[in-house]
Amino acid sequence: MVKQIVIILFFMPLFLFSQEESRVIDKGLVRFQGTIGMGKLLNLNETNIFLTGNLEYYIQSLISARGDVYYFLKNDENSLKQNHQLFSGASYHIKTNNNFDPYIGFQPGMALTQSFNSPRKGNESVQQFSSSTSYSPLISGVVGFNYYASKWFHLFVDGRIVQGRHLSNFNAVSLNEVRISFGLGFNFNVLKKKGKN
Amino acid sequence: MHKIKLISIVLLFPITVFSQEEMRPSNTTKASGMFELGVRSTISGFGSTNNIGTGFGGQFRLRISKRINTEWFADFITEDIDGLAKRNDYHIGWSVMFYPFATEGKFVPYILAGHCFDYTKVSPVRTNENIIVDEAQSRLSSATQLGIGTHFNATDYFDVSFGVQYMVHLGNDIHTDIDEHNRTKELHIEKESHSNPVLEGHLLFTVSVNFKLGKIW
Repeated sequence: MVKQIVIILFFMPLFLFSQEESRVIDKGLVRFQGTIGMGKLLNLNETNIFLTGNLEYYIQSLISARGDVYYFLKNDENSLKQNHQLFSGASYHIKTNNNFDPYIGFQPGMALTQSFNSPRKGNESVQQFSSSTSYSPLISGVVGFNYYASKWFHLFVDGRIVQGRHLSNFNAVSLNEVRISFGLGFNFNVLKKKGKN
Repeated sequence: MHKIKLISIVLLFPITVFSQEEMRPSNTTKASGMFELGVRSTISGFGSTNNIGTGFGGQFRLRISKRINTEWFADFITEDIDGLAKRNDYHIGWSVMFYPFATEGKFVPYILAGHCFDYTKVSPVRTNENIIVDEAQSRLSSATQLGIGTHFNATDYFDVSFGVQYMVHLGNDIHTDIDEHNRTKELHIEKESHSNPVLEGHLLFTVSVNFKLGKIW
């Protein structure tokens, strides 16, 4: 049964090639998605998990404006108690002749962060204190691709590198992180008139 | 409530771009009157603490003429002072950008100069080390900046700008000193009195992305 599901999932994109003729990537395209994101802190051996979503608008087929939100799911084994992040910026989409849409982007951002005095390891009982919450500026680059399966849906893989530092009344914690998210997104074009596409 | 507002603004930022769809620039019209909106990251270095700060901010630009543009900005910069204190800087100001060479094309270099107002706060950090610290100090000051940079016009509607500027603040000085006696560190955060305003400068490296939203006139 599991094998069948895996096979169906792997071959599902093939059903979408029938849509190749009309190119979805164009000026006026709006895409949005919500999914789960995973990150690895580069200076600490810790994994972060986020609920993440974004909204993107293509001002041209090559350039888009984009906003992202990451809601941090608390984990006592991490150094951070809170690490919610917002990003805003732009992406450059590499030109292709089909609905495959690779991109790179730059997004400055801000994080709402709070740290523990020490992360909890395994089941050990450690008294944890929390730092004050603080806002931390972030620098971020994104790379990934979208595959527009139809006028309404796309699949995406999004990678991100984040640079920042949580500064509070406790020790500083590096926010440098590599992050990945993927899933299904939704899209529509606000400029194309009905029947024109 | 503030969080919800902030999330809404960031997520709706792209919407501001397509609301201007019919006002888009054309290569055939003159450059003045162009309104741009963007976000930026700033690295602050070579300041009094010799640490590196990281900042997030935004700006809008209003082009006055073919060779003169104006940039109105706000930045929030944080800096880790040797793991013992943190410094927060809030900048708000404006710059005039002069285009001495090309005024259009892929690369458009510029010289900028302007003014800035800022609020600075230095706060101690509680560490595991044996340390004696002073209370947090803050100040308001004004500043002036001079720099160079270039726009990289990826398309007619969008540019990435790289700039470096030296910003010198005039106001009360806040400086930090770290001493160590018998394995106990002492962090001193000192603020000079109003009667002794001093100059304090730092170098700012900025990368910004900007959307040309339309012409105002």
